Amino acid sequence: MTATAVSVKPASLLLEGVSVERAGRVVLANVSLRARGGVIAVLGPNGSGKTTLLRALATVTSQAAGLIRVDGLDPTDPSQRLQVRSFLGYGPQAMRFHPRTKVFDAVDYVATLRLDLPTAPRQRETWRVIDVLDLGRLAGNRLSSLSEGNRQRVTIAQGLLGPPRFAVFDEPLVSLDPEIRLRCQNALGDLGRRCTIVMASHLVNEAASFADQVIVLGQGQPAFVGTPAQLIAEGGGQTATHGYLAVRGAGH
Amino acid sequence: MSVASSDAELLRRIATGDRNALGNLYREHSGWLMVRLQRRCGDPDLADQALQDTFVAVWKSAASWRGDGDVGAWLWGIGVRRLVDVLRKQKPRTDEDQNAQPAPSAEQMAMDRRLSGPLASAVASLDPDLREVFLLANLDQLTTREISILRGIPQGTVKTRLARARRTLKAELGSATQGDAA
Amino acid sequence: MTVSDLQLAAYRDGRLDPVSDAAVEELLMVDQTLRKRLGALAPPNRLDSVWLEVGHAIDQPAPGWLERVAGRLGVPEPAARLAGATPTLTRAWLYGIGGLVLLSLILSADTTQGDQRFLSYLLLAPLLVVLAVAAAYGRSTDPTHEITIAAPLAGIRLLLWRVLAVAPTAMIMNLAVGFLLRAGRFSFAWILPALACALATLALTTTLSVRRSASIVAAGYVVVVGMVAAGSADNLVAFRASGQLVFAVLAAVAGGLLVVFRGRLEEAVLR
Repeated sequence: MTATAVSVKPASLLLEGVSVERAGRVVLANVSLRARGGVIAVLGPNGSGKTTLLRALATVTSQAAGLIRVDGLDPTDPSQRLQVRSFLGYGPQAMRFHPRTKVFDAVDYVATLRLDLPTAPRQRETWRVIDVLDLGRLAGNRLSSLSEGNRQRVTIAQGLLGPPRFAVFDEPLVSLDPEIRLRCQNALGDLGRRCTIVMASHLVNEAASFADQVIVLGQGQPAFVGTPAQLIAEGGGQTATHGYLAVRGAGH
Repeated sequence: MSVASSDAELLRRIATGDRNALGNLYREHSGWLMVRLQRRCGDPDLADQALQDTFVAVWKSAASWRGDGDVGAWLWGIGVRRLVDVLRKQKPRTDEDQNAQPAPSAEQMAMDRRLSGPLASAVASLDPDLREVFLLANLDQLTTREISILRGIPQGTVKTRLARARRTLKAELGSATQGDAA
Repeated sequence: MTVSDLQLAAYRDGRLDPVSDAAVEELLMVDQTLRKRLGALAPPNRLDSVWLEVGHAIDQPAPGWLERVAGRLGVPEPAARLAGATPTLTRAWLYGIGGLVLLSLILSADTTQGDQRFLSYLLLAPLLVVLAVAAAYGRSTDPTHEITIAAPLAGIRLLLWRVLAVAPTAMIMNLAVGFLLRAGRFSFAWILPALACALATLALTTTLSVRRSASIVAAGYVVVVGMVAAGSADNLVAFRASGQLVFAVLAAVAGGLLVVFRGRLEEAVLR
């Protein structure tokens, strides 16, 4: 009804030979990918450079080598990242907020930062994302009173503000019970129709179930990049987890 | 009446913070309130705002309902006053708005709660400006000030029109009329 | 009287003849069935969206006290929102204001020194403004930092919004304390020093962190003004006409530097 009705084009994403080094060791090597719209799931164990890659895409770090372009802009370049931020949604891992802040205020605070709107339409947009995640009844509750899963929903909700044309979520599906996880997957899937979403996850099957592309990071190895179907095929046609293990075990 | 008693029951539950009860009350009454509020102001957006404010007020003040009488009439009393508040908060109308106003406004009138027989036809035959003001005062029980806000006319004009309406009605119906509400 | 569906639709649209219209209005005051029938003629999508808005209005928390106070002082709503949602600010605030009020009360008790007793007040008042600037943007104290820097409003605009949100309160507190002390014209003598200190803090922020800049400026201000006062028979000499002129020049220089290096401030505040 509000901003959602406006047809917006998802941002294009181009990764070419992207690597992350930590303490002189390559933890993420040679990721190449091209996308416009849809959900791209980045899978890999802790320490595989997922978070660094995502933070680089979200314009908050420059510690990634290689070519990264979001709508032709380099999110690691200080002079270009402000432009990227104007259409970016970002849900960091374990997003932190002052615990006494109320749910509505937390989301509306991010809306104030991110959207250049007068109060009334801005708060309508805040309510829109709160309703998408079905957080309405909790809007007046303090973050400290929420379960971890509900705090996770707040993180996802604020990432939908705008709505963005490019969004980055670090482990958005963690600590959600199945019913709510499905709701969040649907929310991200819906957003994926007019937004390019990069999402890190260690929940292989769940992420593969609604992702359009999958990146599996290997420790210092070139990664697997393909569709969920291709990943499942790698695992002998069983599940995405089988494919994930096969890809990583083989050092693809 | 079962509907009335269930309405009262809903209000009691709303007073304890039961949102589902508010939802049920909304389902029961929002429709006719919306139509009637829109008849009073001629503007769907203002009617919607007044309807919203009405149920927010019900949520906050359900406990203040005395527990007798018709819940629907109580709701309407809140609704029409919310409508006045909404109009009061509106920015001053621009010239364009004022030009656009008369068309919907001319269709709007309210009728006295005791209207029937000769009084009804006497009221119906009043000049539309007089009739409107007379009915807002008697049917919706609005004050001169509230009518002046709702209609966007000065309070003095409201008073003059009310007095003229009463004089006309008295003349038509003779001294036995009871339509001249205080 | 029975009302037909056709008549009811005509009532809804305001097309019913006056006599029947009056009858419908009258019946609506008492007739539950008629209400239900009329309700069925209301647009369902509008009823749904009003219901959604009712929920929002009920569930939306009222703004906190800081936001309300800031709003009443004329602070723009987005600035008040940004300040109010950052409790670190509130806390730094309360300490600052509490400290100043306490000190002012202690100082006002000693009336033997005449005008000279205002020195501490004039030393402290600009510091409250510097504190406001420092509290306005701090990585270490802002748990939302990660999300904040990824927003387009990050950097200088956010810093200035927040300064705008807290500075008027600081000014008013200072003036209030001045009147409480019956400091007369000295109630205003801190304004130029405060402006110079605030601008100097922002100018330094182009190369240092906000907190470090604020600490350096605050310390520098206290030391220099303190030394000037100690070296002169009149300990308020820094706040008389010549001193004010120096602060005005300093403010202009700092402001100029800020304009020249504003591009670097954009990057710097992210540290």
